[in-house]
Amino acid sequence: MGNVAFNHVFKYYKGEVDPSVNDFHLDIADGEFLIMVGPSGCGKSSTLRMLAGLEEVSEGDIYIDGKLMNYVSPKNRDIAMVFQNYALYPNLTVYENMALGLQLHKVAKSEIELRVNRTAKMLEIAHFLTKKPNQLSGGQKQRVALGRALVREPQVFLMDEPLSNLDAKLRTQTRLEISKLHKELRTTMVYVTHDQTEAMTMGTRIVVMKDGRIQQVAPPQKLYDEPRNLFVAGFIGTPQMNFLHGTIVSEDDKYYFRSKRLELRIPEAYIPLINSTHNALRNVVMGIRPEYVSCEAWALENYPEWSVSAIVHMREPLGSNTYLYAKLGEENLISRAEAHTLIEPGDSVKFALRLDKAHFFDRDSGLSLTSLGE
Amino acid sequence: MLLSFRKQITFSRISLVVFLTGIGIFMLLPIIFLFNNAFKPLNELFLFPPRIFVQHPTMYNFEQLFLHTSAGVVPFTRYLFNSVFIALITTFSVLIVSTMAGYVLSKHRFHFKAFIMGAILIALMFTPETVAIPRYLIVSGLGLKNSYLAHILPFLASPVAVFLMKQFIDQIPTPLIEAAKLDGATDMYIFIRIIIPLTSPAVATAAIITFQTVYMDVEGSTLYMTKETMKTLAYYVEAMTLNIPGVAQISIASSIGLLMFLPNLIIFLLFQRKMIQTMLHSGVK
Repeated sequence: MGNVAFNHVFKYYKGEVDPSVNDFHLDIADGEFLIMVGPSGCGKSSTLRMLAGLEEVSEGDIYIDGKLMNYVSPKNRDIAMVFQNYALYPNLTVYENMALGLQLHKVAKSEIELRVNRTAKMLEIAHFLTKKPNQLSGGQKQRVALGRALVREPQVFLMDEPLSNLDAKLRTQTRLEISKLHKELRTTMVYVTHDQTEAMTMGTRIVVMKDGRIQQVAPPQKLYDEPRNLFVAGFIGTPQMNFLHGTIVSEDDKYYFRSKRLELRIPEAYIPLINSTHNALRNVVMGIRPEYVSCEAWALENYPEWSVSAIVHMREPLGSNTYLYAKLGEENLISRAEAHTLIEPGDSVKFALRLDKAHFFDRDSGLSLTSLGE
Repeated sequence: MLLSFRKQITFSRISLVVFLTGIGIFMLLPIIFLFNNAFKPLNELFLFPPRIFVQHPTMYNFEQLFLHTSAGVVPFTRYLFNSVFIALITTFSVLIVSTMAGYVLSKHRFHFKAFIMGAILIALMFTPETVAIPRYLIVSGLGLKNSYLAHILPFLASPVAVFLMKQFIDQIPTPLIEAAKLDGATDMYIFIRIIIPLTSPAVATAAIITFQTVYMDVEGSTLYMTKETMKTLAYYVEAMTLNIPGVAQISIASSIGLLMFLPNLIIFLLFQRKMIQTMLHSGVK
């Protein structure tokens, strides 16, 4: 049905030397909710537009349902797309907006009416079917745009940052609704966003892109737990993962992470992994998530060998917990503390770094030494 | 403090309104004068210093006009028909050509687009007089003299209208067209169902501009037409006001001035709201 395959796809724009999409190779299974995430200009939108047929493929092949799509016009690809700025026809009513695609595909009038009304009811937009788009609020417009895609009942849904024009509350709500829709419809969805929260919460699989290249493809939790390189580690998760620069040294069969101020023993479990990726003693970046940097008593008791002192220079209370921003020499350390922590800026605090949950990256290549995610 | 601040604003507002009202009246003067002049008797037409408002309105000027036209070889209505026919057909054709060209130039990618756009911009810079001779050579070379086509064709490729349309269509978000393409719409369908309804203000503006240019044009009649029956009202008016000797000239000129002005006024009143919208949105000011 709605499986999509990218076979080493490249996109070169006129007048640019570097490809905007560089060797994009991926299979998307039928019914999958695939999210493409990355900073702006990373090629995620170009990839989506190539899949939609709005951009030509410079090199490589795109298949939908096993059929080569490179030279098929957008209307014959059996896809529907939701745009960032809704792209509703301002001169047509909501009903006409939703019905247009079906009319053009020569669907019978009674069938159109049935489908539009059913979708409108599902999205709770039935009561303004006769209104024009400019009479609607942003959230309502987005629903109509979703509805217009839904009535088509396509093989693949494409969504290009559909939530970025909505305010925070509406975005969370619509996010849940889209996830729910996907569960009900079980149609393949390809969703582009620059917001990592959206990516983490909605997708069954996430593609992280940078400079036109795929950095990592993995389910959300795996992406968080086992980032393949420094970029993915830094991009996924808020606040960002802490990065500490240092070297790995060995003494008496024991391995240590050593920097200007630190010397921390690396857990046994990591050693074969670090060793297996050729030369062991090298410059590394240790990555450790804020939740594994703890100043609580139990952590300091359990992991005395991994404790460090740092000076807190800012606290960021979020209600549910508080983030402490500390300085460890020149390097920043963010720690997640409990909400009512008494630590104030200026305090020198002992933190336990959970090295058993840390990641080690090669400083030159940025690749992870400890997690071998695909 | 607050009070004085508010006072200041009211003062500047008042002066602005007074200033703009003054300018508005000043700009209206020719039109008021035109309307009054048409109904002035001869002695008031020649009054010195001249008066703007008519004292004893009369239809004498119109009588003179119809007297003269009925004495002519070709009836007045023939000129009127020519003018209206040519203006309508040309306006309609210009709109079709310019909206289509504007759409393609704005939303399509093709080779030499920048070159074509440049050519249109350069064409904008020529005054009609500079191209009168080559234009004449083309029209006569094509054997179009003494035909309606000679009136219509030279106006058809209107760079002003194309440029206006292109600028306006530029503002229609591209995703709208992409959405329509994904919905399965053909280019023609997108053009008719989406582009045209959204560009109606620009269409109205182009309609006014073109109608006025064509309606007021005398070049077509003077250069390409040797048969009197193919000439337009504008030409006739000009010829008459220039050639009739004596006081009748002023009399006829004043009445015909009003008659020539009326269609323009009607067209403008019909489309003015849309036109002002274009001026606000397209950066064409």
